[in-house]
Amino acid sequence: MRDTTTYGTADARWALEARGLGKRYRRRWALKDCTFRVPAGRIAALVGPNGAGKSTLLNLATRLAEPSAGELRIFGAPADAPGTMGRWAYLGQDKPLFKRFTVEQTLRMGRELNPGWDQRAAERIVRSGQVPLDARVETLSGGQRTRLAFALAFGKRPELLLLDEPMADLDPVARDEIGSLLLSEAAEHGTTVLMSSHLLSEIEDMCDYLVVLAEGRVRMAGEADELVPMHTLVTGVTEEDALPAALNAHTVIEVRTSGRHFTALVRRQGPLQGPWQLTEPGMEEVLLAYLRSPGAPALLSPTAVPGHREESAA
Amino acid sequence: MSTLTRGATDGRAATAPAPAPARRLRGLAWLVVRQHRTALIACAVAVVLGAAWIAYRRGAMLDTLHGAGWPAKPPSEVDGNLLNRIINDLGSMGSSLAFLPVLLGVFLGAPLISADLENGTARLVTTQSVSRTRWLVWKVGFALLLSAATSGILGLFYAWWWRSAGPFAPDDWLNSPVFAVTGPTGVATALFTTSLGILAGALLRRTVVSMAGTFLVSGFALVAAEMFRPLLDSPRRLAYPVGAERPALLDHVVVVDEWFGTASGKLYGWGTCAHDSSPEACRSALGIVDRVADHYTKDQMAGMQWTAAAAFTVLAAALVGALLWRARRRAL
Amino acid sequence: MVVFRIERRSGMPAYLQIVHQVEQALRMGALAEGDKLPTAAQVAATTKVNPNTTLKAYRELERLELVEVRQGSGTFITRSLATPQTAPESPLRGRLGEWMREAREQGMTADDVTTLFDTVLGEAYPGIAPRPAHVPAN
Repeated sequence: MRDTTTYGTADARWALEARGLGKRYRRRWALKDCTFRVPAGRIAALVGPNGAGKSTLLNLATRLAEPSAGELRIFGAPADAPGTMGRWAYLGQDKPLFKRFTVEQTLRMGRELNPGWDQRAAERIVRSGQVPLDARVETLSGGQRTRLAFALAFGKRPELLLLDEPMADLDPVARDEIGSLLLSEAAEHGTTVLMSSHLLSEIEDMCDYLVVLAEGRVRMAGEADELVPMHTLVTGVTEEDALPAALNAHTVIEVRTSGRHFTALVRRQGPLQGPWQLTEPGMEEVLLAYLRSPGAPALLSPTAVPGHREESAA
Repeated sequence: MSTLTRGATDGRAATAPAPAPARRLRGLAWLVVRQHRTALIACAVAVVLGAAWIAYRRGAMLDTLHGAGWPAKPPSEVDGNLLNRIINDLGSMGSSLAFLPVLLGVFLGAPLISADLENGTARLVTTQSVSRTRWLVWKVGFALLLSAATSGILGLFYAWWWRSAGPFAPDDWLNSPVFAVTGPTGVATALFTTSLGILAGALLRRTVVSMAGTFLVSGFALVAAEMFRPLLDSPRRLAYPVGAERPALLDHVVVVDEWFGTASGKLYGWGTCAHDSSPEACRSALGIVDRVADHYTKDQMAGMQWTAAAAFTVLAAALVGALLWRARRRAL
Repeated sequence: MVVFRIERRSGMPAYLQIVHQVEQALRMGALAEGDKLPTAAQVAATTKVNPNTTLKAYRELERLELVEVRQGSGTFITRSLATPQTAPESPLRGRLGEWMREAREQGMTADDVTTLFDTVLGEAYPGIAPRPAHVPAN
């Protein structure tokens, strides 16, 4: 937090930047004291159990809710600044569309309501999925509907695409197809993506940036390539029914014991030495450990800390 | 590199002018009309059918009256049954039209926003590049315009029929549907019920619930409005001596109350001394010399209609204002 | 156009798999100098790979001086790794093929062959790291 000069000025390097962000519904804080940022150009995953505050965060970004505390910036500008709406697109889990509209009319809606509309890109996405333009939305399959919703989102030419569980209700083939579509369109236009998902394997495949929420707070945020290798999976024998004291020098995220055997996911604070077997955990293992242990200390990589002076590696 | 990627670097300039049909409607206007096409068609059909029916009934009425010799013969010589039929005809069409604002509130107002909230399409539209307020203004404007046009046109046709009935139209304009249906009142009532339905939908968020709520509240409001209608203006007062013939003026005005009056202007109820063995003696003992009739004359109708319309319009504006104020402050 | 195949469970980072597959394609002659590598968007569309992963792989290949990133036009192969010995008609390759057929006829499984091959490889080229469990071939 040495440098706070970027604060208050539009800084397009950060697609999303939260400082002390909080949202209270009646007595309960759905999101509390959240501070993190997502650099532009990343495919970021928003991970957390149900009720962790993922949807609340997306609602705050899309102006469907007002923050109760702190602030949220999109490409450096406050989320509720007038010009910000055209810079992001949002796709909800249930992908609402007008059921009686045809595919063509749905795209026309996008054209009528968005000044920067890219009809060619939208039509290409629809056509490549063999979705007939004159079909009514209510006759489309789940995958086709999702594709149309994506066409609407990408037709807006967003710089930031916010997705709430985009593939939850898709069959495996459609999921693979939509996943490829999302990544290729994002690559084509340099779109930053923030997607909430429960599908950890999918996140591991698709995402290069992580924002982990639990109980309304940020547990982990940063580059997947940096965060995951900071952890080691340690297996060994317990000492007097407890974790070996030597491990306490490190941050133990999660321990599981069976008999005298223990398996611990630790964040290394220096070299790990001991009569243990060490393995490199995958992203899925690290995510699961953090999700199961909401009390573990939060971990933010330098790029994820607002105000940290660092160029975004593009 | 491929043309696709070049399109991306060119940015917004590359937006494709895809071959599209001539666009008469643009932006939110197009969306609102397309989304509420069914309501638009239903209202148009109601107007066309209603107007045609009124024109037909009016023609039939005039044919019968001409057949009965009117206007060559004075109205008093026209068959009483025929007169009753005309009054019934006008009355039943008028009652249907008086109910129209409730229908507009229930079927046009209540689902206007609640259906979008239920289907998630409110979120779809407000996450495009239009603000909540702008979207609401267009939708509410569309619904109010459609509502006003439907009730206004049908009201004009009904007034045309009523005028054609001339001396055969019922004299009691105050308690018949003609007051609520014609002129500015019909339009203003429809604006009020529609706004009520829209706000109910936005607050209750459930289409069926808000339709039911709108039905009850607007029905109640219209009954109440009818009850309090005489308060819109003060009645005129006519006094004539007891025992004298009832003035002819009173045959064609709306008499709302009758009294007995003394020379000093003190009033006694209509039933005073009615059960006395000698009513006349009883009344003269009280000093009663006059009969007094409180009544509304036809020339008061327009003023009262405008007052009623103004009241409904103010209510409608308050409801719409509340909706927009709420939308500005928080999400739908 | 090369199509990358990412083995999700191999334990090897996806970007390294892309690097290896490009190297392998270069050795086999499937890619030659001047060839254009698919864009990150194309790779994403065919294999659902994060575009930043592809770009990272290409940066690594650029560091290895195998490719050149030309701004605005794409990533191009600058150097070939193909040797005459790896071409399909080379005698060395022919003899290895013969050897494989013989091994199969004598009842050796693919795993047996791999183990034997790795052992002999280690003897012939001391000091190289053992290969990862499974490098996908394309």
